[in-house]
Amino acid sequence: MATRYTSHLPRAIFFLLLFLTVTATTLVAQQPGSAISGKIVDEKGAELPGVTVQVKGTTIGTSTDGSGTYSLNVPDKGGSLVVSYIGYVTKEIAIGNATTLNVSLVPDVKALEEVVVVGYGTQSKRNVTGAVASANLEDFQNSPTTNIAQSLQGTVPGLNIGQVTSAGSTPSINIRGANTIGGNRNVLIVLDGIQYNGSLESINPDDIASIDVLKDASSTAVYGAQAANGVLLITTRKGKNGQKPRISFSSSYATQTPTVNLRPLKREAYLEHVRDLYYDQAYLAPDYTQPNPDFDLASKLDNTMKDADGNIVPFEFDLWDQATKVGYIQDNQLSISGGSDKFNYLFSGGYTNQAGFIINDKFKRKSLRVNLEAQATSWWKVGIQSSGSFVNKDGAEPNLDNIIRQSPLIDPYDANGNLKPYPFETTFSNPFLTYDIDDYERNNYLFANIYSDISFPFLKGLSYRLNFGNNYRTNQNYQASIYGAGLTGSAFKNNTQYYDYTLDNIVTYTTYFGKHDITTTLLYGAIERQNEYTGATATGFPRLTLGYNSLEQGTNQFTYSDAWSEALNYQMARVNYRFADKYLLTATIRRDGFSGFAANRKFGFFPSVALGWVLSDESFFQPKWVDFLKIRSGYGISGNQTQRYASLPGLSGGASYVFGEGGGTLFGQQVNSLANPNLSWERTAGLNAGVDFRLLKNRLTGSFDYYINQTTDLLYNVTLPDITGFGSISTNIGKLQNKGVELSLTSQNLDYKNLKWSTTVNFSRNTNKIITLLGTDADGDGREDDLIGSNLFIGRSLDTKYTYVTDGIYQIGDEIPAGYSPGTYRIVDTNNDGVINGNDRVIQGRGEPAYRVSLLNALDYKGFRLTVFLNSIQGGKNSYLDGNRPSRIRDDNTIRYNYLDGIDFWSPANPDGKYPQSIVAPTINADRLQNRSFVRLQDISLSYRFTGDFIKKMNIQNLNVYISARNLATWTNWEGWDPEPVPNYNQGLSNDGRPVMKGYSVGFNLTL
Amino acid sequence: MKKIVGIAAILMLCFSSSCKEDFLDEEPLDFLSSNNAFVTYSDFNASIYNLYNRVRGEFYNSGERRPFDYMYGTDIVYDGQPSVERHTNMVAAYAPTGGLDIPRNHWTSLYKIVSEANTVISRIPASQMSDTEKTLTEARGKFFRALAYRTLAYLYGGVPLPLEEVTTPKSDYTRATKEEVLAQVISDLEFSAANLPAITAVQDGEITNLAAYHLLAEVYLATGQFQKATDAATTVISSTNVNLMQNRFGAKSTVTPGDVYWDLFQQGNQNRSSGNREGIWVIQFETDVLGGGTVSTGTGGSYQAERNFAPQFNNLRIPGSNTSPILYPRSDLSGGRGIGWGISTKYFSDVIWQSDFTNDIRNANHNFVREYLATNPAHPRFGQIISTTKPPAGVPVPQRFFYAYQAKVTTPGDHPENLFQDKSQLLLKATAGGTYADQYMFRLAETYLLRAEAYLGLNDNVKAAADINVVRARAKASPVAPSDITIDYILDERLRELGLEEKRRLTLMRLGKWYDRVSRFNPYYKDALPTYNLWPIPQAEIDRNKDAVLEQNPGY
Repeated sequence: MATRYTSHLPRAIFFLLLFLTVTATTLVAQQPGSAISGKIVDEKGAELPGVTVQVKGTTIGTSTDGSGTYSLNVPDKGGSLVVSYIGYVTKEIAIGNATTLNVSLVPDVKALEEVVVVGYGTQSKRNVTGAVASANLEDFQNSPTTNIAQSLQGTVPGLNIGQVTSAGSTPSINIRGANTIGGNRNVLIVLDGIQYNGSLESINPDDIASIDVLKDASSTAVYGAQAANGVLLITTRKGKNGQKPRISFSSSYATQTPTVNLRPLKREAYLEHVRDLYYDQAYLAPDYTQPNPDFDLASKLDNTMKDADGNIVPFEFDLWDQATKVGYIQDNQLSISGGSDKFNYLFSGGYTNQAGFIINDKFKRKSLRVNLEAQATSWWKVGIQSSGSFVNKDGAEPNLDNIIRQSPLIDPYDANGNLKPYPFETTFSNPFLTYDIDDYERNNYLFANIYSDISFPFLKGLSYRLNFGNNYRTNQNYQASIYGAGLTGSAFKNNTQYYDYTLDNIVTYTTYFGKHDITTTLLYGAIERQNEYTGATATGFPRLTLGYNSLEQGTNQFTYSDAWSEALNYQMARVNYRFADKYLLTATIRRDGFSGFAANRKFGFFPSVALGWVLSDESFFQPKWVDFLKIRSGYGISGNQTQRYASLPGLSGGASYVFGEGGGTLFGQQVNSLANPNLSWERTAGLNAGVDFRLLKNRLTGSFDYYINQTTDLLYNVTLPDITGFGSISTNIGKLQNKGVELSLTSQNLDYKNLKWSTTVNFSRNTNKIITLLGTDADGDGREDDLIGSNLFIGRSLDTKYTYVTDGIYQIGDEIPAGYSPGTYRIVDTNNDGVINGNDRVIQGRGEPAYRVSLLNALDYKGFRLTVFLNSIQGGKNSYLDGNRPSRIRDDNTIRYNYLDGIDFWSPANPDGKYPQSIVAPTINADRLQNRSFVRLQDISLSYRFTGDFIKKMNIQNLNVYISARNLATWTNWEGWDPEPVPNYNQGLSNDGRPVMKGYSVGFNLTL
Repeated sequence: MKKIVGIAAILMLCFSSSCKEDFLDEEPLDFLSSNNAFVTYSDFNASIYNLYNRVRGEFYNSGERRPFDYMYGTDIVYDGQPSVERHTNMVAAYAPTGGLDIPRNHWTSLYKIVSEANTVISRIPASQMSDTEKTLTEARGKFFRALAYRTLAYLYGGVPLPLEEVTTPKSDYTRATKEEVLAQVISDLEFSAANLPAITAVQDGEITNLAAYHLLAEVYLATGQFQKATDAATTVISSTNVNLMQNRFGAKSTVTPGDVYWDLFQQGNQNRSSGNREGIWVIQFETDVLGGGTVSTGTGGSYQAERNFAPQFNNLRIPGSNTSPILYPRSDLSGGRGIGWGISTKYFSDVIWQSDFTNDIRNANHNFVREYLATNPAHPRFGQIISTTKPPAGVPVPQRFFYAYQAKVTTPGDHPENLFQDKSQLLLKATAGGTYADQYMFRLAETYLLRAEAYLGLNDNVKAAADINVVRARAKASPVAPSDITIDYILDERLRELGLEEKRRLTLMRLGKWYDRVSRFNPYYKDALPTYNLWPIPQAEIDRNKDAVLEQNPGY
């Protein structure tokens, strides 16, 4: 299959590959002169491969091989050799007359520190002034997940990853709360320096070297108007210079079963629900708890559940069992990496195959990656990071909602084994109609960033990097169903193509004099994105033999197409200044232009400044137990873009009317939106203060951050009276505040040669508050009006729970107001005006969590490593609330339909039932607010790394085997599928929810 | 240092020259902007076609529920399957907030018609149309605006009355009086009546001067201007281009049993091209054509009168047998695939017919079906007649699975091919339920009844009776005496002639007689209140209109 798509690869990539290969081979050529050789070792005498050895002041140089040796032709004796290696102090040695020079390098303590990607460059973690965190990928790499975002869940304080319930899907990702009401809520993802707005499903987790999270405005401001929701920087692996080929293979298999045991009612319980809904007839007045012997249950059931004599059929069918099975994840990864002194490479391929619990919930991914880098000349480096990802989601699921609702007394198949299209003989369709179809769904992702890095030879420290990043994606969704379009057959082909390019010019100048270190970065760049869609549908097929590949066989044919494009143009300047390695300053400014900004507001400016102070380096700093202490603080402004075209007055058009018999289609038009020529981006101004520390001889490390973000000019569709003909207008209003704290703490509890135990705690808390909205006080009460219709309240969080208060359920014999009946909620007349209406709604709490906390324990004993990760989101008394709203009201369909088992419905015999069930619908029904708080045993993994003769004999660098499990246990009081919200699903006791998967995994990693 | 500056300058220069001036200009690729969409006659026609579509949606095919709010909760039908969707529990159905927002749904839909019409009217002066085209476009725009405002005024009373295109946000509307609204409607309709083309000069389904006069007559009635109402109605009635159909016509003119009233509702018989001269404004449906408003692949998108108003026979049981005597769903007089939601009230099915039960052709069994043939060979009564008037012992009438209904909601034998499960047996699929025929918005018989109402208002019972008798004579019903003419009699005659065709709610609310009629003739709705003679102003609309107060109707 893959070859079919590679033809789409821009031709330029091939030429570059060719070019790189040629360049790399020419680099190996040796130069004439006298020879010198030697061995480079570290402070303990271990051989160091890949060390750069260069004759000072020339371009003559090489690097050490796998055993740390080098040999070099030097033009004349008397010069000196410069020996440099990342993480070690560079050494300069006079050559004199020596023909052999062995050198021992000592580690550079400062350089050993972690390097983080900060956007348009990297920085030593020590010198970072903003809130930047690196994700712990290592401890979660064995977890049975297929999307990289899933494995980040709960591991970085402030990075909030949601739950997923279908194979391969990407969870919601949010950094430090919601900074917007109606704007884009997605974090900005930057992949190898290039903005990436595709799905994370395309990224093979095994290819990722690091993920860095930019959390505060002073660090995100370099990405300007797109960065208000935070930035995720993903860096893929690459080969290392001077490293011999490293071949890695890993494979794993995991099971997938639901974390909860929810399923529809079985036969007896199903029949019982009909009696409950007919309690006024099935039981005797006045209290309806004694069965009525004259009640004929059969008379209430659909004909489809009765035999020719009108008796209830003795049949039972377990549809749930048919529609679900134990799922699995298979994962295989192969990569080869390495490098010579001037060239490095990584080739990788992966195949992931996931099947969820619901049949046909499938996800398959083939991924390929080639990362190459060549030092073309001593001052010019070129490289490419490229990947192709081919996702296959063929196959459609049965309709889960219909599975739950279908009666267990009906066989979904007829005597001939064919599906009954409408098993109830209503328009309710057989759940398998959506499954028994031909479904083709492929997403193909191609990415290539070609870069050139020039270190100007005439001025040390000046470099120019050009990134040319390209994303090309296609999405094909084809379906053919003989049941479609009222059983006349339907089929469609929908094709989407997307392309974007990023062209970034980055000039960096690094210099130092005295105690001053300065790095200046200048950026000029542009992005263009284009999307187009073509769809064709046909219905009414006499024969659907050829399926979606011959739509012209359908009686009615429809075509659709649309397209959009957008462009960005931006400049950025940044200065990193360091004095005496103790006093740090970062200042940036970005100017951002975007085509989607309204005509009067095409460009915006986003500045930031941040300061840091390494207190522990001060001579007056006394505490000996503190190894390192840095305090930092930053302020910056970042933005959130408007949606493209949002400021334009748009019309929609389409087929509208036909006059007369056999007339032709007339096309109409309608004004859909009001223009807003002043529509502009949201501005999030953020202040962050934090400390990074290492204590007790590095036994306790961590960081703490406090932040306060205020977003103004919120993008919001302000509702208008429908009298205008427009429900709303996109505009900028109000002010929203997020503030919070984050703490990350790692303790090395035990640190022996064969026994190590470490614990990491992450804690974060964010509170969200609307400060102002429209600023109007129409009711004249002296405080700004809430926007009740939009559920927005001044001084409250975005997800405020404003609803009715219920006080139990009306019982038989109660005095019941008009519009209500036994079994409906007793809605409290909170304002005591004698009527129950919208004015009785009150604020009862909020949907946002009170805090999130996670605990990671890692234990190493000889070759064994055990990690246990607990993740928790807590709501306290009145946070993390959500409405659970099962209710049953008697009508044809509620009698007919089935329900989830275990819902505590009210009935005369169950007067304490939690959820309403009544004969007539109440005027007002309400949500039952429940707390979603939970603690989850999210990941547990035990691995063993082989050591000893066997490994050495086989020339194996690494072999480890593991077992791991995910979502083993969840402790919560929430009732339903899962306490964690999943966008577009109701995870309460609802047919719209889906189970979260629990998985056990076994696997191994082998490196040769 | 000079070198750096030089290099930087060169670099910056080449960067900045790489972008074109218009790089960030925004040009939508797949939709028009209102800046360039109102120039030519074709542009304006596109907006007018959309208005036709919106009107069809509001009153006919926007789903299985909302178009029928004009029938449920009145004196004609009641809910066979209790649900707030069909006005069971009126407190909930007409609540200003929460629940189903029935009043709000129609408010929004009708005001969208107003705003689109306002845009058309406001954009005319700056357009490149000829003067003739401008006048015609204005007449069309005003007709649709008038239709929407008249409906709003009947449903809600006085409502805000914007007449200009909205180009900037506005939220300070106040209610005009009902009189002001109707005065504007009259002014718009007078312009339309004077400038819309004649019915002979348009395509089938287009609005005409006669449609404007018909509507004008109705609105004059609503404002108590009875003389003007008679004049407007007379303009229509006296037109030589229209007349009541007296003889059989159209595609099925030889089919028996049948008569001229039956012919009026057969598939393909509504437009003038079929020979019909009675239709004044016919809402167009064309199956499986883009924009045609109805499809054969499901009920969605079609006018679902059949689904709502025909009985659901599959659950009919006569003691002694466990199957239904009537095959279902079948494309015959049993009503296609009805699901018995809107059961005829006894008043509609029995009381109003008493004087002429056997001679009034509108009450003939093929027009108002009471006797059903047992078509199920497996049933002991196969081949026999099962009658709602003399039901078998132990079979209650009316019930959802067995009641008398008006056959005009269905198209016996004429369902589209795709909907047949077994054409030899006329058996339909579960996806049937649409009504596959064009629909009368205005029909000349109604014009007569409007003029009768106007004469009654002028205390001229003789002329009123004469008009009613024109309609009754065609139906072979005995003439009514002038002394028997009351508004109730006219409302009954409307039920007989226009049942399930007129928007009953609008008639009753126009006359302020909704509560009176519902409480007297539809015992099902025990919770009807005089308050519901007007619907509430939607609470959401009151909330959104933040810069002024929209007064709520009393009682809500």
